[in-house]
Amino acid sequence: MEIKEKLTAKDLMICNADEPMCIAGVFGGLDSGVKPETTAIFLESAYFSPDYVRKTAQHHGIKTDSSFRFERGTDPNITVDALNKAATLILELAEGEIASDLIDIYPTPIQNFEIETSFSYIHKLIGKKIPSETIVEILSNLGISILEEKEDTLKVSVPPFKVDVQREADIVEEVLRIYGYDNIEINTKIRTEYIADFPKKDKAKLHGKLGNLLTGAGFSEIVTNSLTRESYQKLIENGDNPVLILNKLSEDLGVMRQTLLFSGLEVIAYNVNRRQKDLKFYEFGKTYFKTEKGYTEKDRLALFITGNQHDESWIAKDAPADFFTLKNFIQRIIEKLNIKGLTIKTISSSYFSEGLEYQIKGKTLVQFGKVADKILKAIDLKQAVYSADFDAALLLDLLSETTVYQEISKFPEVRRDLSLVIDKGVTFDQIKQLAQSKERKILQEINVFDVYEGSNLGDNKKSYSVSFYLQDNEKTLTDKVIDQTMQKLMDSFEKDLGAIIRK
Amino acid sequence: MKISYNWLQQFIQLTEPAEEIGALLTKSGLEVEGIEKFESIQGGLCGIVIGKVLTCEKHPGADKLKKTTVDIGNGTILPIVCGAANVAEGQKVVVATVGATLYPTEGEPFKISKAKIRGEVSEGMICAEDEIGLGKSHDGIMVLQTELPVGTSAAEYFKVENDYTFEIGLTPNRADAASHLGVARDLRALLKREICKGEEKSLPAPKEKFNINVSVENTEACPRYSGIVIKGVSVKESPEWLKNRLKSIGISPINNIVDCTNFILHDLGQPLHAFDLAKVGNTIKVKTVADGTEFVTLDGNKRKTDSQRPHDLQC
Repeated sequence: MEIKEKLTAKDLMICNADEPMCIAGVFGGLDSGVKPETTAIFLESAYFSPDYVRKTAQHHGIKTDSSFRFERGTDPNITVDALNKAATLILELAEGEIASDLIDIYPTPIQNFEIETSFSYIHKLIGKKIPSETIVEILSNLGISILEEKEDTLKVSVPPFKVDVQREADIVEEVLRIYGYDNIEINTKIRTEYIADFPKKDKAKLHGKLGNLLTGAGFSEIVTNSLTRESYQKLIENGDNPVLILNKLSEDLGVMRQTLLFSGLEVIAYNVNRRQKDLKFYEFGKTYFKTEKGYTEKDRLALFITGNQHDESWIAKDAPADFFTLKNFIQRIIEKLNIKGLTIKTISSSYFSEGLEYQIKGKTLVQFGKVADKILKAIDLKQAVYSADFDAALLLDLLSETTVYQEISKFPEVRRDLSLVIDKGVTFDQIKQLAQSKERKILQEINVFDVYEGSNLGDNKKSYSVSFYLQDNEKTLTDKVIDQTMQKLMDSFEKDLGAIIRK
Repeated sequence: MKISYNWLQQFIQLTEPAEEIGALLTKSGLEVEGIEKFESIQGGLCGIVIGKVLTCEKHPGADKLKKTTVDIGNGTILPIVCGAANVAEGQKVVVATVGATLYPTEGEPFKISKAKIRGEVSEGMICAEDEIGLGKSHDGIMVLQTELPVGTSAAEYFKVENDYTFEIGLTPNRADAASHLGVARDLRALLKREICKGEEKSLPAPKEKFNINVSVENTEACPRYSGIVIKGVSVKESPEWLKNRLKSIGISPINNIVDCTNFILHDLGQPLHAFDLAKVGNTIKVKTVADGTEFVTLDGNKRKTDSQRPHDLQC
């Protein structure tokens, strides 16, 4: 099989009077080599510049035993010896006779490389005093000749075939590798210390724990590119100063992301366009910001939910995923890590058309909500998407290595329900906080099981049906205690929240 | 890069086993990634000896078989049942003894065991060429013309080359060690033992001078260019020793000229190229050519195996 190569002006060629025969040091031409009917040959032995051969071999994508050696550097002073040895061998094996003088074009002989070093430098770098006779012997045996040896100084002449011996340190390396690395004893005073702090908590543990939880709940893990489109940044607050890529490959990969949202939405759009509409994704990833001093990275965990909560089924109606579906999963994460003492705020953010924020000790743990229409439009998504953005570094801080077990109470639980008519502005969370602050001991759980709004209640009012679960770990609750407790709660609802208890 | 232990011996005398040399090279920065045993004939003809047929008569129970006794030296005389038509009294033959494993040219290796063939005991086998992996011929057993005494190992007779090949992971900075001479230079320093480059034979003076004009236009790209014309060569197969040298480092022999250039490449590290003088004419110019000039070459992947185009391995 023959192929045609287009030559460049950098390819060195061996030519006859009319045309190129061979690409120097790389490969031979179709007809210029030895054929069975050949009776006379021209035997070439050359030293080609490593740079030229490397570029040519790379350009044409061919590696031969020749180019392998030429591009690393052969010995310019061996060409004639090699030619002699080869010609002698050919005369012996293929008969024939020499039919020309030995041609040798070598206008500027390549000189030996002179390096000046000192025994003290060699000792210092090796960390051991090797006798100077040994050093001289090793170097001479390697073909490096000693020009001058005076007290401490050592001047040597390195032949060109030792292409890697150029500096003082290279001389030391030559000595050491022959002397033997194993023959250098380790000083007992040498000790090592870890320079870096080991992270106190293992990120992989958090990833594993939450990954298992989310995957078990039907989520798929995604890993997306940290490089994203600059135009996305304009859709979000504080997105105007992203980390730019200096040599970006395309506009799509122009900046480092400041949120996991866009790349996640791209994955959703890709799947939706391929008729996969019911999706749950999570991603552990980094976001990137400029700071006054330089740059910073942040660990984030993002969740995405869109489409129906579950696959089509004969037993259950299709239920579109909504804000509360997402909130449920966030609650599971919080319970999995046993995080207590959250405060909840509603947020207005350019990411979400409606959303909540959970804080712990003043730090934002997670923001989640319905992704803003403007953003969905930019990705060309027509179905609603719910997304959460966790601070994964904070989650890691809150990750506890130990699990505490508690005995289940032997005494029965009691449920009491209340219907409260309250102002629309009052949240369930306020009711819960208040109840928990008033009754710390036996109140185990509070839940809303019905919400009603209607003209008969008044314009600015709503009705919550709330259940209270009471239990004492040490004794059975008596009616008296239960009634007292409920009375206490009702009083405070009336007083602090202006609630009307419907009886 | 592959380096042969026996080849190294051409430059430096080694008494240490291959493993020891390998460890020594690794310690000094030429990492030996593996050592392989090389046998020019698979199995190394182990357990196979030269024997002499003492008696040869027809097998009592079979028309096509013969019952022989064979002397394999040291007073051992083996009864062997043989199926070859050409076996006869007085021949020197190749005998595989009980316990030897044969590696036939085609088919699976098999072990020789004591057997009874149609009621006659047979302790060994008189071999044909293909049965011991020497060739493809199955025209009866091999009859040797040799003065060697019975009992001589077949490995000696057939000059089996047993060698070890070092696979060296050469780092890019060690171009100087990309040949047997280069590795031997390191061994000289490691073992403090002299290198022998062999006697320098000066080339015979040319009888007639072929008129060739060599010029180098780009001396930056080609600082040195040497060459010589050899006429009256006959391109043929290389002798066994050269073929074995090349095979031991994984190179397929092509023909004597190309094998010589390949040999020198791995011997001294100097790549050579043999041009057909008919194509060269009287002029060689080392130069760069105009951008876009077309040049027909062999496919880069094919070149190593295509024995029809012997020049292809080398440039």
